Amino acid sequence: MRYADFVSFTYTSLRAQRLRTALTALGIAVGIAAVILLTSIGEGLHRFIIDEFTQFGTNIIGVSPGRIQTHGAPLGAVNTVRPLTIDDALALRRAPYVQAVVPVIQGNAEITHTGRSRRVTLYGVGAEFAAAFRMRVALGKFLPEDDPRTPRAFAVLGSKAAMELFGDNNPLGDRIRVGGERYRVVGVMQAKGQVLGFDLDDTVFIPVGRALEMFNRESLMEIDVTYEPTAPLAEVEEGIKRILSARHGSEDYTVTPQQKMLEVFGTVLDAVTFAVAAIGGISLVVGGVGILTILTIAVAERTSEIGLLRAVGATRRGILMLFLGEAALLAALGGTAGLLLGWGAALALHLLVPALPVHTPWSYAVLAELVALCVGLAAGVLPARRAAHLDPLEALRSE
Amino acid sequence: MIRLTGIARTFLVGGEEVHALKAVDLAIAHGEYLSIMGPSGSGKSTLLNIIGLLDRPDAGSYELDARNVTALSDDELARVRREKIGFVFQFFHLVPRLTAGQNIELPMVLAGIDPAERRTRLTRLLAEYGLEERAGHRPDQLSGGQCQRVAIARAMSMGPTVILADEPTGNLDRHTGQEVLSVLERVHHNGGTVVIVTHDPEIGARSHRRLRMLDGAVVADEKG
Repeated sequence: MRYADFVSFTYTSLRAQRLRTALTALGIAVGIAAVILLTSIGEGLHRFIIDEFTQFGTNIIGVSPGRIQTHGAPLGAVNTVRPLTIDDALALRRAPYVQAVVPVIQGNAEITHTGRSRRVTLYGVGAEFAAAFRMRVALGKFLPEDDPRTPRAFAVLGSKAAMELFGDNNPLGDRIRVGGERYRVVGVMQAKGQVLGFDLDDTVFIPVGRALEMFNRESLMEIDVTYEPTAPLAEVEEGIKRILSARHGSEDYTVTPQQKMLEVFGTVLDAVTFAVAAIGGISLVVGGVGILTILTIAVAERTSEIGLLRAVGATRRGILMLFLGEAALLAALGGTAGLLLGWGAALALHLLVPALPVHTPWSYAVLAELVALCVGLAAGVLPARRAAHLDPLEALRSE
Repeated sequence: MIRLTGIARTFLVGGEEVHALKAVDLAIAHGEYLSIMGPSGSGKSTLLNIIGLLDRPDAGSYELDARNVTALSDDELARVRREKIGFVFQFFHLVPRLTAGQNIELPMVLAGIDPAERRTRLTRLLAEYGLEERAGHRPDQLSGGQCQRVAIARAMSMGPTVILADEPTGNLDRHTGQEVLSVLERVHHNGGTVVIVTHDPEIGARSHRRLRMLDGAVVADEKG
């Protein structure tokens, strides 16, 4: 049988039962649409979270004091955690591949200007902070490269803090009080918005040396190190550990490359996407059962036709292929409809609820389509085999 | 052309062996017009089914066009049926969703014949059986006589060695039955071999060779 005739014959059989075909295909369509819609949301969520984390760059390694370790060490063992200091940060500049080293301390402080005051998040940072985290300055400059141990009293305001204190006035050069001390405003950051619930605009940035004094702390909260994007991560990590361990005498700090964090996130989020795809897959299986049912009925109804086809020369394999072809065509029709349906729904959802991140991964769509075909073929196997194994004579007699 | 030697067929009905055919010998020459008659249960349909390769004998051998077809595989049988045998059934057995033209084409489609060649043959067959006007109609829009003419055209589409008709007029009124019979006779006049199974003596009398069967055996074989 020629390929075109084969397709046309199966198509004619499906068309002869339009309503039945449409309803059966709908079962598959709903399954595919569910898979596509759910994976679209899953993938959208994935991208959203990864974007949130990577907007500061991906080639960042965080170093924090203290070691994450198993508890239950013998009592009396001395827990010696040395603080991470500005000197540690300066020393890390010598590590291989390192581009910028940013000591960070964070806290809350009240800032005042001409009688207006506001409690904001205070960041004590190094001068390379803005560049390292890809934050832009809207007005003026970021903190200058002073000696980090004795920096001048300069402050940079977040956009919201600047707006609240100064309104539309230019704050550059004005003096403000931060936690009771006098600072001069040298810059205002561009608005950044909220990142995972943290408002990065209601902030003030001051030199880290002054922040340590203000909070009366010895240790930095974190040292963020950026490295050349093409550098091998393991060597960068190794270099940092070598310098810090030499200075501290032991590894009493934790090194967390953001890439590793992202990998963990990625794994978790991939699992989420896969899980929702599997939920959609269940409806696909239900659609497959629909095909199985309809084809079983079709074989019973068309027994005498099968007998005739065998009498005029169709082989068993030919009959098998005809019914498998019908199953596959049904599934493919449903799959295509489901693709449009799911994609349309994802698009509509995106337009109606712009806050909800939706992204249709086409690899999943293609995969869903293939799965639909396989479901169709699998569902077709039993009825098609039954049709193929009918005795032609018996089949002809049934009327 | 067709040579049956010692053909036997036994069925198991309710645990009891029924000998539908008992060692039948039969030779049919090219261009014969033969009828098989006999009461129901005499084995005439079983004989026809064995000649048509829809059923296999339990014993004996069958030679079709000088080829032993007794022990062919299922797929080979299907191919031989397609090339050499044309069936005409009592209940027409047209595919309801296909048009008359498509029904006639069906064996050629299954055989994978080129569409251009199919169209040529179809046009000729439609003209030959007076179905030009009806080519686009589906079976439920055709009369019984037209349905059977479509079935005969379908049986002829592959240029078969033999036409096997099982009670071809059994589902038609007398007048239409005569008409269908004359179509089959025209096939014979044009050199075709026709075997008709019937219980109607009038139809049997029109054939040139009459087989009478009883209890699975050929009891009479008259010519002329």
